[in-house]
Amino acid sequence: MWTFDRFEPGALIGETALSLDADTLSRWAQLYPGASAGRASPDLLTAMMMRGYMEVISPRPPGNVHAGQKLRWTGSLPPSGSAIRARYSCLAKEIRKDRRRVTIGAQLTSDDGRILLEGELLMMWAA
Amino acid sequence: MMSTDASSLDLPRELVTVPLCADATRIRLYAEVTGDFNPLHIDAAFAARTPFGKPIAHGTMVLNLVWQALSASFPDGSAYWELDIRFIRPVREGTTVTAGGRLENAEAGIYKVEVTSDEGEVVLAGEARILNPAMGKAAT
Repeated sequence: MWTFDRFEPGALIGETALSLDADTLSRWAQLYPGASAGRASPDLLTAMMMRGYMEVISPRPPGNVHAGQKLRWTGSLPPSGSAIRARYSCLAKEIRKDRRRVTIGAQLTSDDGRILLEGELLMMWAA
Repeated sequence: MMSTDASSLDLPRELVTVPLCADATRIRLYAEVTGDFNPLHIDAAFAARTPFGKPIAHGTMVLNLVWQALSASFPDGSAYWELDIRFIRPVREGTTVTAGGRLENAEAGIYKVEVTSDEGEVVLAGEARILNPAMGKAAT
């Protein structure tokens, strides 16, 4: 279980491989009718970042709250069907006003090492 | 010499707005894409026993409308962005939300962005900063 005490600021949490497959692209087109059909986009990469978070930081205590999100996209998009590497680290943690705050850094890279999307997730950790 | 400051561009004062109804089908699809099957999002009976009363949409499902508003406003795809977003209120299943934004600082290429519900509540707010102003071209 990833409890608040387990996070170490500055430490790598873990990595996972994600695939931008046809099923994902199909679901995306159904979900957002106005989105770019059949290809990657920064919004889809944001969802992939969350998929990796779910895989790598698991299990989590119930009741966490996603309070804030920073994202940085510099134009790189992976081709459909390609592999994406997702890496997560703990950037900071603190208790403020009796709330456990954890800031998680995330980075998605393509299989040739290009940075696709970087982000910081601010989570209110339940336990 | 090419200028690299955002004030040299014809940046739109308002972003193209993008609406979406956060219905149960879309929330389920987002759960399948992200692997986030928290019952608070997809189990109506579970959610009914929480203070929310109904399932709520995933935060980034709503945030993604901001990306789509930016993409629609800069359709050539050459504008790159940094977002800083706060999730303010939960979006209950069945709510229609709309993303949009307004130019806050043309020189720095900063937009104030927000997503509002059909009841007029701001559910998400923050900033979008263009990273490569010399390359961005506004929608006309």
